[in-house]
Amino acid sequence: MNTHFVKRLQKEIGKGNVLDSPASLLIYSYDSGVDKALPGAVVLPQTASQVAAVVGLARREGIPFVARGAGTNLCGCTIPVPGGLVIHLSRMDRVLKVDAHRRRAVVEPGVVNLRLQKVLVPYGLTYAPDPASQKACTLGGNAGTNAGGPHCLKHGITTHHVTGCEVVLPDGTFLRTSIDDPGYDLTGLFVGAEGTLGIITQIEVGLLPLPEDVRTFLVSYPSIEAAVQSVTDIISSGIVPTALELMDRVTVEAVEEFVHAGYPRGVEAVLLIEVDGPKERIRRESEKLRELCQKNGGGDIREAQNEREREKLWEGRRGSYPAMARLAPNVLVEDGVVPRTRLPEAVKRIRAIAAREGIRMGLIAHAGDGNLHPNMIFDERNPEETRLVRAAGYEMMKVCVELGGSISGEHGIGIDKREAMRWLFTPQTLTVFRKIKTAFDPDNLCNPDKLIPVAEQPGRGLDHGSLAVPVAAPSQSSGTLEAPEARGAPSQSSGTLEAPEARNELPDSGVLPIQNVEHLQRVLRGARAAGRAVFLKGLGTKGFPIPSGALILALDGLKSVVDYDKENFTLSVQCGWTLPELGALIGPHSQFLHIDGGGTLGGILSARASLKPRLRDQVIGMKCVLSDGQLVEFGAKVMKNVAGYDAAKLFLGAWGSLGVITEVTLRLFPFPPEEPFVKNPRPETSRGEDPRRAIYQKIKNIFDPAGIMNPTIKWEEPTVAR
Amino acid sequence: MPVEPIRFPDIQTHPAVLTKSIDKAHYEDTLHCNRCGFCTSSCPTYIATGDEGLSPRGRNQAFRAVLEGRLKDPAEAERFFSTCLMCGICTSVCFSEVPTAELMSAARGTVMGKQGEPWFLKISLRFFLPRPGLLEPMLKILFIGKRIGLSGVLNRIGFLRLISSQLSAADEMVDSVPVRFLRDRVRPYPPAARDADVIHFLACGPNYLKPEVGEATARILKRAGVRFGYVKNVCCGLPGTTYGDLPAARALAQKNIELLEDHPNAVILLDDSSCAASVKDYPALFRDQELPSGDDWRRRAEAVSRRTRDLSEWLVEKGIQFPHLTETTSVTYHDPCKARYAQKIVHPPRALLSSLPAVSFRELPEAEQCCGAGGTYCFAQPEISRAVLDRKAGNVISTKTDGVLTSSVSCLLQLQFGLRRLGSAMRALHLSEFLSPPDKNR
Repeated sequence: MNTHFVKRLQKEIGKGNVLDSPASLLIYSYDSGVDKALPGAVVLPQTASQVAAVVGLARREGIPFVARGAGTNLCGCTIPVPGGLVIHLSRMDRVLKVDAHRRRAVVEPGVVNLRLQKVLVPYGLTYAPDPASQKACTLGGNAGTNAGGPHCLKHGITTHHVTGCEVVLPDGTFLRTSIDDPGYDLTGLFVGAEGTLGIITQIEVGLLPLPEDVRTFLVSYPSIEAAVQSVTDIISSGIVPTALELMDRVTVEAVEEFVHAGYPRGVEAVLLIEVDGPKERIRRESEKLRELCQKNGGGDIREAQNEREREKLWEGRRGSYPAMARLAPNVLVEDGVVPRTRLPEAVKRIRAIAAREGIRMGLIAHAGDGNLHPNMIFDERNPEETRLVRAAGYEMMKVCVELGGSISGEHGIGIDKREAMRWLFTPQTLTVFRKIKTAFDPDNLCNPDKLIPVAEQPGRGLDHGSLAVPVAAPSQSSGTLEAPEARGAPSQSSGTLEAPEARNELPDSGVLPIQNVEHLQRVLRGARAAGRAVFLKGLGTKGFPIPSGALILALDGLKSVVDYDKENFTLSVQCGWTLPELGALIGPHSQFLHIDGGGTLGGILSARASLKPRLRDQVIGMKCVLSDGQLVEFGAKVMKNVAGYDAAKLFLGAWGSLGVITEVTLRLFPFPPEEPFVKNPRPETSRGEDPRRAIYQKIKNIFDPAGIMNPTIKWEEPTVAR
Repeated sequence: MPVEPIRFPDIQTHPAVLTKSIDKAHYEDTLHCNRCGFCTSSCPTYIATGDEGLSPRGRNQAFRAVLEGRLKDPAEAERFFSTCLMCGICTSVCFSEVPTAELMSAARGTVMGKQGEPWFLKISLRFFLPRPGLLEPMLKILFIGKRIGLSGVLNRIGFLRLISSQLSAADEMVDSVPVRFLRDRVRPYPPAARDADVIHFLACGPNYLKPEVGEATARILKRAGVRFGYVKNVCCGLPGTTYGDLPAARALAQKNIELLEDHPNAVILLDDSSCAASVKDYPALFRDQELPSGDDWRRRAEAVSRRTRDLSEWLVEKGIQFPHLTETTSVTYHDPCKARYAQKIVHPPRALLSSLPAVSFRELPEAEQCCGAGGTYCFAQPEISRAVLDRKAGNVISTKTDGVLTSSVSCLLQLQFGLRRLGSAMRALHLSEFLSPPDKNR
């Protein structure tokens, strides 16, 4: 790196906070994954303003930079661009505030996850996400990758618990966000963005009270299938364990060899089950659990009798990856997710791949949400072996996509899985991701070339190197899986060609009932060609003021049930449904939505009608039609999914200003909501300078550059002083 | 706009080409680190600096890179190797049990050509430590200088720093020095009989810096009614191991092994955990297969190692009672890393202190963390050492007990320094001193 730049860095943040010796650069060339690249310099800022200064300097010099926490990432998220700048946030490790009353804490990004947990104990509080690496990984890294963990089955992953953040944007300016703000959910966008949209310098997290009682069980099974059936039965029974961890035979053997956690040897699968909550309920649930496990052939049920035994059982689980690591210089930890009921099939096919290639592999899964981790051992010094293992990993991800899942449940995309994004997302959706990246980082300097496939090379996606495994058409009934990018989606043809014809369909004013998604696409193309402003209407219950003479699209006719998967507790429907109608559909199966509000589902989502339970935690997938008629989709039919930007959250509370939500995939529950609903009052707005306004405008431009979607929406500073 | 994709990764590693079997063994050890990073947040120097290079993972990767020839100038990595406290906490949290402390000793020695070794230590190791008859008068001259305030004056005018920054740090840290060493003070006790039960090994810390500790230990032994005595042991060799000067360490170990073999059935008792760990680890000094008669020495070292006990461990093993401790007091305990990690002694001191009716024992927060002393580390790396120490002293003070106990003189001096630094009136004592306070009526 040029010495001039290093000198400027030293001047800006102090000599002791800049490293550029060859040895230091070598030490910052890796994280826990396979890829390595040599940076040009490393900075260790101590304050957010130092981060901003460094970013500003890097931008002026055109030098790419990447933020790094503990470097425990497994997919190359924190690998620098060769010759670029590493911003190591380990020196920003203060817990700034614990507000026990509001149950929130504010931390700097370098705070280690487990340290926050320890700080919270005296308050009787806990921070729910607990990645297996929690001993080392930082909350900044957790936020960047939207980390999960064994205990997120009940309490959710990082995005459910980050309530706000302070970000240094790629231009060196600060932005503060909160999920309580009106306007687009920027917090949700930054969480899981892998540091590609800015560097998080402060995180506000929500906290939970420590449970009254915790019980932990270890159960052995004669087969993976039997274990997964137990999991399904447990969840269907209405019990929501905090953790349902599956480990296969190879893993158990490796773990026992070292940890001596008392896991049974010689069994095909074990489940580690934990329930928490009020004493009396836990007692009841524990009895029920034992019964359900035994019913499916679960034997040798062990319950931890005290905290030490509990810790020992968990040590066995946490040791699964490092225990494999003892067997070889490297472990490739894959991270796929499938609808839970497809787990046995996924396991079978993944094992077949490993067996065919002669790869030693242990399997673990967060079985409750279908997230599985094949741990393959190899030696990175052998290029052929490395290539083989990586190719096998890719093939395994393909299996997950084919089974209706995703290529990452919690580790992220990074460098490792960029190309695999093409299997999951359509070219239109990838284009949206690229536009999001460009809107925030026009110079492409902020952790560039991560998360999104680099260049647009349609047709190449499935022929990845020597790995030409044809992707079968999705086996589910419905089209929840859009054609992968490589298969050349038909809707890619430019919409404007059809515009003149579509324009003729538009009435001069009044309400136009939309018949189906294709109709909607046609109408929007026409409106855009004609420069007509478009307003959306469901049943008209929101009382949103619409200018006279405007073109109003009535969406209450969009009413297909795309997919109702009772066993996996997911429902994919179009947005014209009302909640009573959906209740009639799922009620007979004793399933419930944790959503409330009047009018259509589309209206409820667009207006972010309920504050509690949070609407943003209920939506796992979404399809939208944008103002150019393009159909884009985010998320998948799985509970955990960190592939791509969480753009679906932007549409919640957007009041139709970004596009039309045509379809959502929602979480279902075997019980009604436990807390009372809190209705969202219409966002109060007033005049004022808000740094977020410029960002909101950028986001609007990504989705609706013509500005025809509900142009009366203008987000402003909330009246409440911050 | 088509963008040229950035090429990740740009580093490819290749197996190291090594000839010596000991290097190969070390290289194998580095390969077991697969960079999971779990060790980082436990490492005192990483906690203090946040620098990946000063984490166990960074150190292992640097050593591996040196062995693989990926670092053009290995001296570049000197800072990573020399700043390791060798506490061993990383190995205790590592699922692959990578022996980072041992590797750092190797890195300092084999790779760095002993660059990490300060000049005065080198002279001491080779010349004075094997010859107590020369060492002791020499030390006395130094100590008299310290006592009459000469060193303080020299330090203030910057003279000590001019000779060695380590001397300067040492002068600042060590509050007082004895004029009579332990060897003189235990003269009244007889030399060890061939069939003695216990050899009280004179470790350098208690011998030269805190003779009152060794005296207290002797009182405990006397009161317990065991047949004990002394041999003319030399330094255990720990400084040599620490700085990677293994030949020097080996020579010292061999001398001690020979002396101790004269009392084949005696327990070798050390009241300094660092030296206890060092003696217990003698077999590792002869791990190198290419050493002349290495196998023979390793066997002899193993026999000595098996008989060696750290004080707290022996007290609990023998069930020694302390009925004279009647004064009500509260204490906390600091584990020397060489007890906790090198010897895996965690339970004995706690069991012992909890069993004393008049004593209320309170656990120390972050008890698993090093105090930053690390033998001579506190002189060699004062900046990091003091950052580590301040955290430790803060934790000690937070227990609101009457005092903190420990079982290594290096830790003891460090804790006393740390409490002084933070202006605390709390006392730090060696376990022996606490269990057998000097008789005030004498």
